[in-house]
Amino acid sequence: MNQTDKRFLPGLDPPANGLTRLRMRRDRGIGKVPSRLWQPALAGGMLAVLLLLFLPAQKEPFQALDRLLGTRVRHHGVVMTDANHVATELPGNEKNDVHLFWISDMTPIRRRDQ
Amino acid sequence: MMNHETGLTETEWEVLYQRLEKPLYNLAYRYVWRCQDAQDVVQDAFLQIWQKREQMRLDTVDRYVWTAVLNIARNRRRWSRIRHWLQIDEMDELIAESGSPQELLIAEQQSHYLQQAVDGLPEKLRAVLLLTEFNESSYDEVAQILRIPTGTVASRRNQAIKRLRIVYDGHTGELA
Repeated sequence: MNQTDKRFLPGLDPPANGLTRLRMRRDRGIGKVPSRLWQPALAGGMLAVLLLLFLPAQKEPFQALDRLLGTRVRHHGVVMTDANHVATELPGNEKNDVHLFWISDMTPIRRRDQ
Repeated sequence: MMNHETGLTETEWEVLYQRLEKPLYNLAYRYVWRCQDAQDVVQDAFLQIWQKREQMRLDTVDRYVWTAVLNIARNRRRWSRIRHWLQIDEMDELIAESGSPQELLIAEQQSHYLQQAVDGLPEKLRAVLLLTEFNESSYDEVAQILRIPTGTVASRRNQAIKRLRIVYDGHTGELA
């Protein structure tokens, strides 16, 4: 017996033919991926596509700058390491194959250019 | 009904469904608020039982199915919130009941207020309220399903009803 004094919420009738539908679902095959799972999967997929589309767009100007600076300095003994740093080769020990590089921060130069 | 034998026959499984379909549906509906989803929740639990029918026992299967429905309904509720947030949910189901337009409007408003009131409850109170509302067994049974002391079931139910009254009366000025 229920100890509740009275029912608080109205009782609703479930959709008709529940047992028939249950049998059909069972006979169609248990263990299949529930149909509604495609929705979260779709949401995840859409998010991944958006990230893929958005991130390259952000990187593009920096990659272009790298290419431009790299081309300019290639023949002057300077090597671009990334968008903000330049490696300049210093006199080393050729005999022992020792190479020294001076890493310069390019950030102030880029700001001045802007 | 004290059968400690393991294994559930197809007939027993179907009889169980017929006996518990309505109360379980009412529990699930107050989590997902959509007829078809609520029926899916109940049936998913019964399909789980069918898969594990060889390990099931008639004397404990009731508790198992109530717990399963509660867990599935909670998960479905989480996903339905995400679907709603992503706006890929379909439009709400229309209330198709007989009655005058004014009666329909009042019924729809009351249903909406009730949904708001139940949705506004903390999960621990909502679970107790819905289980005690629709599970025809004792507070002890509900306590076992939720793994809380029996006294807590009673106190949480009282808290839930008090909160529900405040929210619901605030909207309607009356309570069914």
